[in-house]
Amino acid sequence: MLVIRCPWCGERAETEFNYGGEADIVRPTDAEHLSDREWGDYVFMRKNTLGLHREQWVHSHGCRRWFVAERDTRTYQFKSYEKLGAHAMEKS
Amino acid sequence: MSQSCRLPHGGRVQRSAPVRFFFNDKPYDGLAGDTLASALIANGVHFVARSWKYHRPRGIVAAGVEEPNALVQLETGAYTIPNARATEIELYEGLRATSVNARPDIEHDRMAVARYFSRFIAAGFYYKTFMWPRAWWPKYEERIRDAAGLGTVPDTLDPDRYEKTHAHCDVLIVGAGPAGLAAAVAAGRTGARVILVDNQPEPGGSLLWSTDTLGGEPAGQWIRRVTDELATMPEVCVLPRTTAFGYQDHNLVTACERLTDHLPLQQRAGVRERLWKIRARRVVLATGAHERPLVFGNNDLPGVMLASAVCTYINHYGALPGRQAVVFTNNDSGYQAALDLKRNGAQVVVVDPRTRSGSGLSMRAEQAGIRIIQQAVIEHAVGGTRVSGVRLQGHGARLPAGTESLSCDLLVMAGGWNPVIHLYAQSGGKPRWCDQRACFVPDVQVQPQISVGAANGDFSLAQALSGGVRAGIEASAQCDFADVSGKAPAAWATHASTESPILPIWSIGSGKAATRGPKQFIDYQNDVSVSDIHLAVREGYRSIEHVKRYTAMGFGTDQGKLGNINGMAVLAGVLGQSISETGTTTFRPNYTPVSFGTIAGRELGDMFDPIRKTYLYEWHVAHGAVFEDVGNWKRARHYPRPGEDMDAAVARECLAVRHSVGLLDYSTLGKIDVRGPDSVTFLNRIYPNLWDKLKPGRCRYGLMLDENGMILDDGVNLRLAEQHFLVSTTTGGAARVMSWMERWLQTEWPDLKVYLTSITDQYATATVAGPNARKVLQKVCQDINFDKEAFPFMGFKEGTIDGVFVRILRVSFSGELSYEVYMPANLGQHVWNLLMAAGEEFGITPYGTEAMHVLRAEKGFIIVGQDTDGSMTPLDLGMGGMVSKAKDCLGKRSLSRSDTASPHRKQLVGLLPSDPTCVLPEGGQILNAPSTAAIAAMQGHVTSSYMSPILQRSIALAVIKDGLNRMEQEVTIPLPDGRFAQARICSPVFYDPEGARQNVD
Amino acid sequence: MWTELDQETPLVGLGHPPGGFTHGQLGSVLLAELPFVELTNLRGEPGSPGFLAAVLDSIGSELPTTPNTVATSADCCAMWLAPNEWLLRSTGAQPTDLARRLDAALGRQFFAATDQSSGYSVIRLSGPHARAVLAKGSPLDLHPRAFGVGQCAQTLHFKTSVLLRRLDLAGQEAWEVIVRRSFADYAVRIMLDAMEEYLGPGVAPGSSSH
Ligand SMILES: [Zn+2]
Repeated sequence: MLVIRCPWCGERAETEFNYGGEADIVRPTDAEHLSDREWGDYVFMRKNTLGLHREQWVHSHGCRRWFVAERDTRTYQFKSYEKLGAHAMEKS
Repeated sequence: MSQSCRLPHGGRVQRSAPVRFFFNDKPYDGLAGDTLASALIANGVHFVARSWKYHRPRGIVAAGVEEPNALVQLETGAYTIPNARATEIELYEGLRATSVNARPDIEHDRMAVARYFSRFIAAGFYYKTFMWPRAWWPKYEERIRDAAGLGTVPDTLDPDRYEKTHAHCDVLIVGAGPAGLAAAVAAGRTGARVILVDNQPEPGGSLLWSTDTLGGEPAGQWIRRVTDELATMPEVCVLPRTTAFGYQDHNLVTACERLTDHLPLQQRAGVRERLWKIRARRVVLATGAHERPLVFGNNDLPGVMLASAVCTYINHYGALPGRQAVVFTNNDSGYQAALDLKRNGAQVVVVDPRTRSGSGLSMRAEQAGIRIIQQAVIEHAVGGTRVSGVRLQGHGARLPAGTESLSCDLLVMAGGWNPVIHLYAQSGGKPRWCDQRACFVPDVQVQPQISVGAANGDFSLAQALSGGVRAGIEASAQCDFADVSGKAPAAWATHASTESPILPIWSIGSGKAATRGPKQFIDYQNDVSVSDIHLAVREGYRSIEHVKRYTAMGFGTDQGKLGNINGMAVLAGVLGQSISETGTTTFRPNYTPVSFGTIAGRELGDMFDPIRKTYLYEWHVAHGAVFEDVGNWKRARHYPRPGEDMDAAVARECLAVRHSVGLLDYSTLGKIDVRGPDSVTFLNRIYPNLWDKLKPGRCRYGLMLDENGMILDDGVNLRLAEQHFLVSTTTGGAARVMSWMERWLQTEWPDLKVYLTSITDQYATATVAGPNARKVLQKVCQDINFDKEAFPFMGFKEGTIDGVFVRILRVSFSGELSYEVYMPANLGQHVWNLLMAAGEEFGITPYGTEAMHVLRAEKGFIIVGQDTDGSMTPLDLGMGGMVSKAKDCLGKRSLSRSDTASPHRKQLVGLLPSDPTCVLPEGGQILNAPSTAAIAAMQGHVTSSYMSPILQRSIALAVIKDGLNRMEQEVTIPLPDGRFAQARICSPVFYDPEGARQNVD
Repeated sequence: MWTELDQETPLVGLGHPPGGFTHGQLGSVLLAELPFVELTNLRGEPGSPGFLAAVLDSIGSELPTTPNTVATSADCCAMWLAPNEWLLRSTGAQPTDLARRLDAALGRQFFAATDQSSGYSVIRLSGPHARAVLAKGSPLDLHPRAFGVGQCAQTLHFKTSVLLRRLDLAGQEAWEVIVRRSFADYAVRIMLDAMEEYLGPGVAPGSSSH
């Protein structure tokens, strides 16, 4: 069980969180003009990174904030955390 | 029975406290403070088990957790524990244990013949033999299990209580031997939060019977002083009888505390075992070392024992394992056992492959008059159910005359030491082979931990103490607890002694010679011998991980604690490579077996998963409701009256709604308060339909899609005010929808000014449905005008019932005139009671979820998750019209992908069975009619199926390929009993297709 | 018109004593339900001009902006839930209609005030074993060095979410546990079970129905 640092609440047990998969996937704003393949890439295709992976987590049993973490998929060590949203702050 | 091998004095057993116990149904006496193993040895019992594969006689080899042989079935019935290690069972009054793997008993084991066939059942035997025919596999399995099985699983419910707890500390120390105690006292004095776990009943480890002095103090006195000091430290927690069995990610160590196993059965109460989930900022591993056996012919005979075990039995338990001993040692450790044996009156001969070294212990042995045969090894042992002698061979020299054979009743092995690196390796560390010490030692640290003492390959007492102190201070400092000057413990001086280096011997005879003659065992528990490793290599296996699996080495309940390193070394030898190149197998949790009870803890039965209850749960119980689980909720399914079965109760409840009025607890629906200036924009992006035009005071149905265009959830939404909505979700989807919407807001649309607040629990809901619904509400609610025109369908109003704030929606999931009443849950029961009373004159009938399902199915209303399954689009449901062309929304683009836009997808339709009494099975496969073929193309499946009381016939909803174009066609549904039902495709709306009934006056 | 007596708490299944359900002993561990506490969920942007001041004006309490802390005033305790979310717990004897007062005070601001008085159960756990009981269900470090008075935290209690607040009860260790209504029966039953080893053997209270 990992320890994950919520950018708001600090270090908490993994059981308080839910995983959201790869970060930085931006929803296309011109969906109607995308080919089936381009749209399919957005919906389904993920990097499956070996090594440092930027991913989304949510502190579901805590402050319910989503945030982005950088985790090494080989060692499960977290390298950084950052807040999301309109008032996002620099890396903690 | 007398304790014939109990020494007259010494040891930590309580001589004034005899304990009666039973082994293989024979009564014996032991002493308080004994383990089952030490008590058996005190009684001269060595033959205690039979091996797993060959059923060879086996004896007690070790004195601790690493014991591979002395496995017993402890107690019977509900309290039985299979494969308990006799070396770890603290003796208690009335203990009963029997040998495992021997039927009918250990002396007359009917599988004992197996050992005579042993050359036919070498490694890989099971893989090769029990292959064909396939249909016989279950029979093979039964026979193999019968022949091979170790303990017996209990067949009754475990009556014991198991708990779990979380714990946090700055410094966790595993092991309370000299290194661990030194670390604990050093860390404790800094003020850090310290947890010290130890698997023994009392701290001290090997010091408990040591003759060493520490800082001039006898070992026992030192232990007392240190543990007394730890007891005064409020932030130090010492957990005896606690085994750290797993080193997980991010410095989480899992440990099992045994609280009652040392007590007689009838004295046990409360918690038997507690699982500790310890999150430590720093971990100090002071887990000690296990002595290695030596590998020679028949090294598995009862009476063959580790030197350290011999010392432990003599010094800790006052039990003498033999009177005529041969000590086979390749390092100085064996000499301690020789000295201890000699001191207690045994005859001792030492066999040492090394040349005379003059080291401290060997000189003491010589001075004590012990005969030492240098440059010799034991070729094999002889004996039946106990060792009776050994055959020697020279090792770089000829044997002295007359020493080819020696007789003995105890054969002591000292093959060197293996640091207990299991937890280090589980933490992600890769152990390193140290040639000088001939063992694997911890190398680079991966998690914040450090190994000290024997666990680090530092085998001397002085190293253990100084390493422990240093680790305790450093670990605390890393947690910002400074060593306050002068408080650090002094380095306790110990007696130094010269040692001569180990001469590793991994098996007797090299190459083919090692595979001939009596078997040389590596893994006692799984009967893996040197010849099995040779065989594995001959058959092409090279990797230690493959050899392990082929030979089953290390597969037993002991996980190869004793034998694995010898096995790796033997493999290295056969492959002609170094041990370092060969490497170790993977060390995985759990270090020792953990009971299922401990893993389950208290989360059993009704506490296994949360049971969510509505405001009306107790009322439902009082009114005879039968419940069904929906998500975590308990929902009232129906309320059978005396003599009614479920069908009758559901029919009565349905007809009450259709003919007069019914009342439903609808509180489990998810409710989300959506508020903010961008609420409309937000809902427009979430839902396929448009929300701009919905006026405050009105409701609208919404379907929610995932990005793949599939239906995620649905519900009726209310516009409370210009910038304020109430979104409802399905019962099971509430949490999912809330986090789905919150995620989009936070991650993708942070510019939208919208707040979401769950109000599912705040508001209770009661649905009043049926032609008399209006009349019931009019009686209890005076401040709302319920007239048809003033309060139209899909509208809602706020008012009061007996002063309680209520929000009433005119919506219908039954097709009848129907109102949903929302009220604060603390007053829900009160309002419900008023509704029941007001409806009495109309025969108001509480109805459950089953009637609700029938009523909605009669109207063709879907349930997300029942009629849809994550592969259904709005187009498939015939609801394509809901998808607004004027805007984008989640999942919309997916609806025009080639597959989702195809007209030949499965679509929602109704089915009318040709036999109106036949209720089709939900999930039943749909075939083109006519069909009775064994294999036929599946056209779809039945999603909902009920007997309709109002139509007096069975109805069903189904999804069928191209279904909307197949109206009136016949299909076939195979039934579980082998028959085939026929049905006709029709509209999913079976009742009141014009929708006239909710318009009743 | 309804009266106090017509209300039911989420723990009605454990009996319905006036003053709330209790079990245990203060010398060991004592669980006490605090019935009908007025709770209000408040959302708003602390950085938005005038928001904090308007709230202070309306309820007489600061809103804590440090995560997992509590601000208290004469009749209200504001607990941080998220950077733009608080739970306001009235501490007076009478309901103060906080949600409506906030609606009136915040007017055109971007905010949401939601009455949750029926949405949660409020429980107090006190006594020397209180922390050990909570530690069975929560992965959070509850040691006073990590979790002191003036702090609150949302975490797990076995398989449900709870909001914990450390109380200062005249030196006595005490915690307030706030749990969603529909999970309250489960949360309290499993908490009573966790208390059992400190209270000695005996039948846990409440009917184990169905
Ligand atoms: Zn958080």
